[in-house]
Amino acid sequence: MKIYEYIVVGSGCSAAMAAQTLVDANREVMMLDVGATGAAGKGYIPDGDFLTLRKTDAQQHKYLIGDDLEGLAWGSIGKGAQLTPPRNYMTKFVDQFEGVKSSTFSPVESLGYGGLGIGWGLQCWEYSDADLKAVGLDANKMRAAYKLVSSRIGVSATKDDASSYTLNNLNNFQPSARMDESHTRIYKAYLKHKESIQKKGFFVGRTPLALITVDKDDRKAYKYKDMDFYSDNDKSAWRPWITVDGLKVHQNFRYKDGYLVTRFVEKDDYTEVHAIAVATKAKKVFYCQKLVLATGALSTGRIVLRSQGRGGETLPLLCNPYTYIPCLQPSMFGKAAEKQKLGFAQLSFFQDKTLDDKDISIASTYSYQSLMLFRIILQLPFNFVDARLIMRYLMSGLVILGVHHPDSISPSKNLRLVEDATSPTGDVLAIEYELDSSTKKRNNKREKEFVGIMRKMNIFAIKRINPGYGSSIHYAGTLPFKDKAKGLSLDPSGRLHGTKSVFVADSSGFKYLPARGLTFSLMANAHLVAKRALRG
Amino acid sequence: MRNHPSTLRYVDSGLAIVDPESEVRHRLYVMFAILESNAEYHDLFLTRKRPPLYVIVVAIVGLLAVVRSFVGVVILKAVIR
Repeated sequence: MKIYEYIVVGSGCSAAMAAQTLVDANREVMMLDVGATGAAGKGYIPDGDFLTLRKTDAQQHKYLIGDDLEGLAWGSIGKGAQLTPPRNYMTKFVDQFEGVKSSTFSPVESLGYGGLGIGWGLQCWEYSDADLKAVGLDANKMRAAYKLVSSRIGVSATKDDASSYTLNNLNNFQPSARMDESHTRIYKAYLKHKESIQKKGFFVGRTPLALITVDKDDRKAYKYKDMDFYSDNDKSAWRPWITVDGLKVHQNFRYKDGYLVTRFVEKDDYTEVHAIAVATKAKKVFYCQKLVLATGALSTGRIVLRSQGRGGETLPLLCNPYTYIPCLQPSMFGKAAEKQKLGFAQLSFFQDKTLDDKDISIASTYSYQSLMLFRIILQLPFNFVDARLIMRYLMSGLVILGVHHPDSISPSKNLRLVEDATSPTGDVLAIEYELDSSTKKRNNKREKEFVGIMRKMNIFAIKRINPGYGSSIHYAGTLPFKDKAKGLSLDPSGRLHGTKSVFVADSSGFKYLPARGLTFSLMANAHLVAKRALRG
Repeated sequence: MRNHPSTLRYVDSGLAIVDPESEVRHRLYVMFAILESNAEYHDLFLTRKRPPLYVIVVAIVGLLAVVRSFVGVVILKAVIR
């Protein structure tokens, strides 16, 4: 039997970072992954900007609505509604292999090549010192790790009023991409009313993104094609598959797809990694000296519960509550569609009334052009003909404000495994998630304050839409960091308590989930966990 | 609706209020998306530069849309009865 030095499970953001650290240290690494693939990064979509493709490409329906109309979500807005057909493979096989039972929580999980990073919004925020302490991570080590991750993936950012909330002491970044006309106006309005806005505890700045604006290796600088929701052509936006594809050229790295890891068994000298082949459902065992789990907090929770024979035990669950608010910017009504445009978040709003960067809420703004009229037309209480005429005029002035709130561990948020004979794994995840009334009240009040600040900048909210618990796609906390072994938990370096050689490199250990997106932090942590795994 | 295709816009308006997820609305939605993702018709769905006074046209369209919704709801109620 072949015993690999390291097996890394998953191919998402944290798995890619952990694997790169191990490969760079000349260790033998096998990445074990389901690895469903799709169109976004494979040249399926012609090269060109959104407006030109709309005008010229006779096959545009393939990526705009999908060959099987899979891009046409119908009914109430739910999980993954923002996924376009070329990125749909992110959730392929998930319903079949990663069942969830819950009346309150609807998670988005991925078994795709690149994991949830396939649809990541690229926001790269460093956690504050207060955040890192609450999360259970070492601030000094994390600062160095952020720099390393930034140099690997390429981050573009700007030093501005919000830098202390976004960059901390990060300095190895490229210039931010140009804002579109709508955001240029919003930012001008902010600068004009800056004093009064800051007095209310709000700070506004450019959103740091894993998007390069200067060529880096074989990746091209961002070209403002506004195809960000559809394709990874040019590779200007970092996706995990870019790193994993790069690792494949190394002799000491092997990528094995088609397998879902279900559990592990530690033996004296090695660890068995049990998996199911997704195509045939046949079982197979792989062997390694050290195992690095990086499948996301929910999947890692499943694997650990099964492996420890504690399926009925409940694990905590963290998830950022999320609300999005479509807004109108009247000064942009009746403007022509922009040929060169940035589709990612452009500005971030930080609400910090106590000026201590603790437990703050965050909002990001997006313009709406390339996601097409049909996605929003259903929200209007009019017939389709009139709605088209109205929205065609208003769309250039449509700004989407996405608000994230922090989350803390509480007994009303948990998960456990329950038996299910119909599932190939024999179980599904039962999730309970409910916020207490004081948190709901706080979040509601903060959202109203965000709306008030937007009004000051001549942006007017239409309505607040809550897509339901789980919709932020930010999950953590299932195996919280603990200094001493207690329940199912990780030691501060990411090793699973009660094991010798099983490490967890995703967000499972986070004891608190700041409102800032977690991806940049989980990548930095994954690097640190891999470094710890190298030490023996 | 088959006998009176001209009522479709009104029925759609009424359904947008009383049953936005109805089968009729679903079919119209699919047709809308197919047209929008067709190079030949793309221009009908993209924003274009309009003079400031165009807001009056949009306001009139909005008002008519509201009227159609009322008429649509009445038609639906009459049909259901």
